[in-house]
Amino acid sequence: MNPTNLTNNGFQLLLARLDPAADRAAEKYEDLRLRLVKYFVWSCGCPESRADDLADATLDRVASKLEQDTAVDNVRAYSLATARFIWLEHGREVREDGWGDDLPDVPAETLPDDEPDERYKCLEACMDGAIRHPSDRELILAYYDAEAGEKNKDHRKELARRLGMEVGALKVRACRLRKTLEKCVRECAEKKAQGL
Amino acid sequence: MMAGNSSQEEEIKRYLFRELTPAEAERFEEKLFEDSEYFYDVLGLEDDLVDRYALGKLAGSDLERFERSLRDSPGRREKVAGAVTLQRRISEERRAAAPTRRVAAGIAGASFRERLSTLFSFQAPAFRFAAGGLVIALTFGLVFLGVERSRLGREVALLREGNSPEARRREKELEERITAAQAREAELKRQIESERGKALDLSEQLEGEGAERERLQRELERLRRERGGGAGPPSPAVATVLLLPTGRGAGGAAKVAVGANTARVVLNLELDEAVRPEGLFSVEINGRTVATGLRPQQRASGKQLVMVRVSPRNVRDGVNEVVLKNEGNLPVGDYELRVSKR
Repeated sequence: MNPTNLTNNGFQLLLARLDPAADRAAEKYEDLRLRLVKYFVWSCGCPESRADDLADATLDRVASKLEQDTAVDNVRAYSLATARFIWLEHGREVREDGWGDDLPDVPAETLPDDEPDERYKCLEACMDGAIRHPSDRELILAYYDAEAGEKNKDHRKELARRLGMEVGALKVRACRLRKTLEKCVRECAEKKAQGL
Repeated sequence: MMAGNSSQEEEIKRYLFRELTPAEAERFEEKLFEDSEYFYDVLGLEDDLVDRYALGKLAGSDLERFERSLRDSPGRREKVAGAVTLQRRISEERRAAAPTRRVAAGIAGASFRERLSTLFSFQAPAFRFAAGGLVIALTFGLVFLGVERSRLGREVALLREGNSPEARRREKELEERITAAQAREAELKRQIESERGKALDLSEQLEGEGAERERLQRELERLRRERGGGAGPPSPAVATVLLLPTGRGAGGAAKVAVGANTARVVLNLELDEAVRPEGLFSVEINGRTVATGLRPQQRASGKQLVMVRVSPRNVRDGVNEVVLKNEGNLPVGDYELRVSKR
């Protein structure tokens, strides 16, 4: 894909378009980024690490367009359209890179082959490092307790009531925490697999 | 997950399993970017599907569709690996914290004894009082076992580090503690038996403690073997073994030596000729799934092999039962692996 240089001005323009209040704009930026990552994973079948890069490339491109005074009515819809374009570019580049090469057969990709125990150590480290607030650690463990959910279908409703939150807000909070945790564990496991 | 809207849930599944037509997918993606609640519904449903798959609780067409989606989605395969780890963490948290958390979770105004009785839902008021006392004793017994287990764990770690007289002395102490823990465990088990049906959670806890104690014992045996060792060839860093379906190997179970420096055990499972080498396979060792999403590979001989790399911790000393399962989670091959842990 064509590289886009993100300038501070472009980035500020994008944030301002998402929300005039700086703190809410930052939150909406992260939210939009998450949608883009999931778009590349769900629709394009990318691994998360590549989806992260493609989401950043998309946001850089959108910011650059705003800086060039391109008319953008709806930033989210524009970002999706840009993401589709970025994906097409990415596919073309991958094909061009491989053209004419005598590439060896790639073995079928299976589950990540890092040691489960190493991944577990990463999870422990990320629980302390990436999920800093103890109440968030408790929230994620309680919310995703699949066995508790099976025994009691109102498990999450009761959890929301106990935490004084709306069920929807709890879901958003849990999903975001899980994404943070997954990203941290994935990066940690990759480093361990590379012996870093 | 969304509130009871099954057609919406089915639409989301079709998207997640990549079953929508391009036009449908495009409309769906637009909705994802416009409707925040919907986006988190999709995210939440994917998490739930992945968690249920990781726990082996996904069944029927959902399981089939999910596994098909794994083929084209390395992102989802990563997610499954993450979910297995997270669910293991949750299960260990529940096991370790249940008694103490229950003790801490009080009902305002009630006595400690009454709270415990209430937690275990004993019906008759007269019985509640007496049963509460027993439960308190069992709870503290189990908490004590938990503390003991953790101390044994630290001792084992120290033993790993040295071969000094001090380490040998600790080894002896450790052995005595294990014996004492066994006696306490047996006593608690007997008491719980007498209250069967009323303290199931405690029983589960006890089972966990017993399993952990057994693990420590195995660890201790391994340490001893390593100390006493020195003779014999060094074990390989990667131990590789070819497994033939049970009944076909001329010499019985395949054998492999696993030592302290063995980082991985590579199992090459030869498919029975009657098994079609199509789709993705999974492997269970001693009843525990150790790998999923495996694709058979053809050897020069024409035989189909499924290769799986596992941690030495996934195999035990002695005979291990290895089962190969197809995409429908049906067993298509039984294998025996004899491991000699040094």
